[in-house]
Amino acid sequence: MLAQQLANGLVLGSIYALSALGFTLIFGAARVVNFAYGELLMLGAFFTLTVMTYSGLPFFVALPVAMVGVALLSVVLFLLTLRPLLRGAYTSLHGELQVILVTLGLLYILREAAIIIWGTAPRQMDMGVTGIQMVGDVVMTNQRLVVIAIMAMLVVGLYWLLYRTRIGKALRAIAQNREGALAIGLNTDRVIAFVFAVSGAMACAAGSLLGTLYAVEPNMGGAPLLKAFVIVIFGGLGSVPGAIVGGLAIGLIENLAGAYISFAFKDVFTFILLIAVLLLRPAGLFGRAQ
Amino acid sequence: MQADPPILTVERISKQFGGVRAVNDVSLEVRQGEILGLIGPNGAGKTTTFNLVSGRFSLTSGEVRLFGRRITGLRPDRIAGLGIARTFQGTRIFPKLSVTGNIETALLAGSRLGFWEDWLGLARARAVRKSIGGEVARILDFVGLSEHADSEAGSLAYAHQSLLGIGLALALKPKLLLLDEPFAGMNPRETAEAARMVRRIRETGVTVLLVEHDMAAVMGVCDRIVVLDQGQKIAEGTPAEIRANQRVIEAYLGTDDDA
Amino acid sequence: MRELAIAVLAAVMIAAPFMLGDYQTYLLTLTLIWAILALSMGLVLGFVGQINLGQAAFVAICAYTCAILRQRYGVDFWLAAPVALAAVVSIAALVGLLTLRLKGPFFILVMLAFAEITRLVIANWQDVTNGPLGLKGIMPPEPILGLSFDTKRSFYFLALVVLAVCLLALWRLIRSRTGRMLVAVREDELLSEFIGIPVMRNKVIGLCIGAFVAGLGGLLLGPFLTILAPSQFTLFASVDMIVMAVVGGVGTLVGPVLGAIFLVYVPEFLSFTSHYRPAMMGALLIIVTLVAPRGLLGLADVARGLLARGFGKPRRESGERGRAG
Repeated sequence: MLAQQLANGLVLGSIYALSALGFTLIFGAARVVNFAYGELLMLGAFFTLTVMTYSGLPFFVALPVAMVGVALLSVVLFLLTLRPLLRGAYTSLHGELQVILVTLGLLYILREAAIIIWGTAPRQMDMGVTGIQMVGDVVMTNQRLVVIAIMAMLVVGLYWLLYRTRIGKALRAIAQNREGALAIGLNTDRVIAFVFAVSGAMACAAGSLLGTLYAVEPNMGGAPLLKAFVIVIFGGLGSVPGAIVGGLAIGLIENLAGAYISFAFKDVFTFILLIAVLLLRPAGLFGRAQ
Repeated sequence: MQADPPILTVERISKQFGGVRAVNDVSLEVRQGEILGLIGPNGAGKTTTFNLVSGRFSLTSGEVRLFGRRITGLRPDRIAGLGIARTFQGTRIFPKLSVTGNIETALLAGSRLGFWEDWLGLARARAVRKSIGGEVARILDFVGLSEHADSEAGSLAYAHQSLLGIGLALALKPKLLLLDEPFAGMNPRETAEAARMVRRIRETGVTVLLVEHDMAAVMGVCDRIVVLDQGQKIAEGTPAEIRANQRVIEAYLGTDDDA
Repeated sequence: MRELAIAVLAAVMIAAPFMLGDYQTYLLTLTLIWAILALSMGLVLGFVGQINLGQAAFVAICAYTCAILRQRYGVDFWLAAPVALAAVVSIAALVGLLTLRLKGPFFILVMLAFAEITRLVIANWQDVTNGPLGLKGIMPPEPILGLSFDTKRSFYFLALVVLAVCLLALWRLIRSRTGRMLVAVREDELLSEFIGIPVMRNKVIGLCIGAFVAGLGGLLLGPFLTILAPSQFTLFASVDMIVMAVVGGVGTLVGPVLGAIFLVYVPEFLSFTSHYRPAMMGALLIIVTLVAPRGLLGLADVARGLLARGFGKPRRESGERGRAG
C-alpha cells in the first residue's frame, strides 16, 4: 500500500516537476510570474492532439512538433505583451505588478480562445502505450513509466542546455546578475525570448503528458498552474533543482496525505505546507535570499 | 557621573555580512550639541555604522545607547520616535508627493492624531492639522525651499532634493540628526550653503553626526572627527589633529584613486 | 461644480429604479455590488500597493459566514452581518500579519494559496457549507427600521446606500492621517520606516480595510444572487475585481466604480455571449496596462488636456493632435 502510494506520488510528482520547470525558468531569467503558464500547458495538449488528429502521427512524433508550436507562441506572446514592460519590472514594484496584470490578461484570452476553437468537452489523447509492470505488489502502467522517462529526458536536456551551451551560460549569467550581464554586452532580450521558448516547450510536454493521463480540455491549465506556484515557492522561485525536488515532493505529499489523512483536503495540505515554507524560509528550500 | 553625558554612545559594535566584517569593534560617543564627522576611505564602514545606529541593520555584536537607553534591536520607526532622524546617501524622499506633502507626511507620522477624530474631521483634528501646516512652512523656510512648496518633489534639482531630505529628517524634531553624505553631488557654492545650514541646525539644539566624503567640507563644519578604515576606528580628534594624523594620511593615500 | 455633479448623479441613481424595468434594476444592482468589490481591490492595489489574489476569499468568508448564521442558526441578517464582518477583518489581520512581510510575487502567490485554501475548505466542508452545491435560497435581509428589502427596487437602494457610504468613508480615509501613512508606505517602505511610520501595522490596516469593504460586497452578494457556491470565488473573481480597478484607474475612488460600470455594461450592450466576456476582460487588462496605465480616468485627463489645448489652436491642428494622442 505504502509502496504503491509512493510510486503513484512519483508519477504525479514527475508531471508536477515538469510543469514547474518552465515556470521557474522564466522567473529566474526574467523575474516574471507567468500566470498564463497553465494555459500554455493546456494549449500544448491541444496542439499535440490536433497534430495527431490531422496528420495521423503517433503521440511521440506529434509531441515535438507541438512543442515547437507552443515555444513559438510563447515567444510571440512575450514579444507582444511583456517585453515593453520588463525594463520597469526590474526596478519598481509598479512594473512588477504590471507584468502580473498582463499575464493574468493572457490567461483569460488563451483559455477563452481554446474554448472557442475546441469547445469545452474533454477529449481523450492516446499515447499508444499499453500494458503494466509489477514489482512486488506495486502496479505501474507502462504509460506512467513513460511519463517518468520523458520527464527524466527533459530534465537531462535542460541541464545540458543550461550548463553546456553558450546561451545557457548567458541565461545563468542573467539570472544571477542582470546589471552585470548587461554591462558585458549580453543581449538580454534575446536570451529571455529564448527562455520563453524553452519554457513553452516544457509546458507543452507537461500538458500533453497530463492530457494522456487524464483528459484534454480548456480548463486543464488551472490546477497545474497552482501546483507550479506551490512547487516553485517550495523549491525556491527561479531554482531549477528546487522545481524538480519540489515537484516530486509535492506529488508524494499529496498522494500520501490523500491516502492516509483526507482525500478531500489533500490540496489544502499542500497549500498550508506552502504557506509554512514561505513564512519560515521565504526564499524557498533551494532559493537564495534576495 | 560625568558632567556632560553623551547623547549617543556606540559601544564596540560589529557587523558581519557573510564572511566580511564591515564594521569591527567600533566605539564612539556623540556629545550633546556637537557636529561630529565620520570619515574614511571607500568601504571603511561609515555608512554601515550609520545603518547600525539608525536600526536599518541589526548588530552582530555591541550596543548602541541614546541618552544611556539601549536602542539596539529596536525597529527603525521606534528609533525615529526616540529622537534619531537620518537622511540617506543619494537622498531619499517621496518623489511623487509635493514638497509640502513630503514634510507633512513626516509631521503627520509623528503627530498624536487619533484615527477617528481625524476621520470625522473633529475640531481638535483640524487644529492639529493647522499647526502642522504652520510647521511645514517653518521647516521649508529653514531649508530654503519655500518657493518650491507646491512642486512635485521628484522634479526638484538634485541639491534641492537633498535639502528636502534634510527637511524630512528635521520634521521628526530629532535630538540627533544623522546626515549620510549631505554634500554629495553639490557644487562648491551649494556645499557651502548646506554646510551653513548644518551649523544652523546645530544652533537650534540638534546634535549632528555626519558621514562625508568631501574632506574640505568636513574639516570646515565639524567640531570633532572620527576616522574609520576597513571597519575599524583609526583616529579621533579635532579637524586640526586629524589633518596631522599619520595613520589617517596613510589610509587615504592607500586608496587614493577612489577618494 | 463638483457638488452639483454629485447631486445630479445622486438624483439619477435614486430615480433610476422607478424608470427602469426589473432586469435593468437587477443589472444596476449587480453593478453596484461589483463597484463595492472593485473598490475594495482598488484600495489594496492603490493604497497598499499589492495585487491581492485573496480578495475573493474575503468576500466568500463574509458572505458564507453571514448566510450560514442566518440559515443554520436563524440569526437576523442585521446581527449576522456585523459578526461576519468582524470575522473577515480578524482573518485579514491574521493573514496580513503573516504574509505582508513578503515582497512582490511571494505575497501574490501566498494570497492565491490562501484563496485556494478558503475555496477548498468551503467546497469540502459539506456539513456546514453544503459543499460544491452551495447554499441556496438565501433570503433578502429582514426588515429593519420599518424598511423592508424584499423587492428588487428596495434591495437596489440598500446596495446604493452601502456603496455611497463606502465611497464617503474611504474618501475621508484617504484624506486622513492613516491614508497619508498608507501612501507613504506604498511609495517607499524604507523611508517611511525611518520617518517613524510602523510599516507593517499600516499595511495590515490597509489590508483589513480592503477586507472590510470586500466583506460588505459579500454580505450583499448572498441575498442578491440567492445562492452562494465555491465556484463563484475562484481566482477569476479576484481578477475580475482587479480588471475593474485597473481599467477604471488605480489609486482613485471613482476609478473602480467606473471600471465596474464599464465591465458590466459594455458586454451587455455588445450582447456578448458569456464566452467572449472573459476574453474581453483579458484583452482590456493587457491593453490598459500597456497603453493607459492610469485607466479610464487617465484617458479622461488626457482628453481634457487635448480639448483645453485644442480650443486655443486652429481646428485642423487640434484634430491631428487628437489622432496622434
